[in-house]
Amino acid sequence: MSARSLLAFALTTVAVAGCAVPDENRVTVLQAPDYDQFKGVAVDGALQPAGVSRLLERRCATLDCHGQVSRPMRIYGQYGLRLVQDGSVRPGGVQPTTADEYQANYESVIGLQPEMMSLVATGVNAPEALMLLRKPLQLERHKGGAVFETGDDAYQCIATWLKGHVDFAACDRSLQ
Amino acid sequence: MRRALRSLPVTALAVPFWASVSACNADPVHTDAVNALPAEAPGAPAGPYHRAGQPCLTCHGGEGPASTEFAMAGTVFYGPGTTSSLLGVGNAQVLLEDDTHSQFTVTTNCVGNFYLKPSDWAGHPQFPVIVRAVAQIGQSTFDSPMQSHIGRQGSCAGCHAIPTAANLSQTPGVVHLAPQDDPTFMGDTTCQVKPALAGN
Repeated sequence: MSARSLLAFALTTVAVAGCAVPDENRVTVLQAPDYDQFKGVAVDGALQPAGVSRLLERRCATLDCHGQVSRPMRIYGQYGLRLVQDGSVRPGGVQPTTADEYQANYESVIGLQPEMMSLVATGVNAPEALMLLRKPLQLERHKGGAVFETGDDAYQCIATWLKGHVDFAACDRSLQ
Repeated sequence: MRRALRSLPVTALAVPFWASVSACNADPVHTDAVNALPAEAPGAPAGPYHRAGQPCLTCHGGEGPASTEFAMAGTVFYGPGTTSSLLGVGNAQVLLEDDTHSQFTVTTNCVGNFYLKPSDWAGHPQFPVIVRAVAQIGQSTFDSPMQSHIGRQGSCAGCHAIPTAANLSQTPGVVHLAPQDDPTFMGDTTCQVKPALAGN
């Protein structure tokens, strides 16, 4: 085989491999932190003043940041972007964050890095392995800058949730 | 002379090349945003009184086409504009405080527009910013703090867009002082540009 033929074969192989169709039946099993605690409901069922979602809504989800439909981590909430389904009207600022908005926020957060989320939720990796903390801590580039500090209340709220038992008092203090 | 002639073809190519490059805006997203703005409203030519309620920094954010650059800018309206037309409020104070606790106050002109240039609040704002609008209208005092902070958007209307059927879930409505419209509020009738014509 000439060098030219070899090159053509190699390029064709790469091109064909690059066009492979994703397996639509593949399932990524996700070990995710607790949804109720994300919403602000304690393990005993008590409703807390603030959970992880409320922190993200107030600190991250203004309409000029993560309250935009173009954001991979898209956060809905009372004071920002509203989730509108079935043509319903839901103006901002008035109606509290709804159940479907909590659900959408949760899916957005755990779906950002699903494999890494599983590793963190099962204790294999530290919370700082996730962009969810790396970005606001400015451990990697974040257009909004450093909005949390390691150990502060916002950090504690998210890190303890990722470890399985959220510090609701820290979540509440982070909004003060 | 021979040297000049030899370099002529290069010059002949370079001049139109640079002219074409400088004529292009390299950012198509910015170009689309500028082109999406409505035309200037009749009676409110380009200047401090134009385009009330529109995202000022689209043109005044440093990428042009406006030559004057703003750090933050917007319009304060009387009411939400749900039951009557939007009218800006003059002489309203917009109080800004940034992440370093530095504060700056700017006053709206007679159509409700305000703006601050980068040099006005040098080195600021450091986002996030909290803001409130305060005004005395007749016997009524209005004090409207924004419920959330500003993350990084310098244009009020970047988020507070005039509501339409298409953007209702993505805007909290315009910046306004009173919870409801007042059909008797006429704005500043002595303003050189009628507030009702200012572009909203």
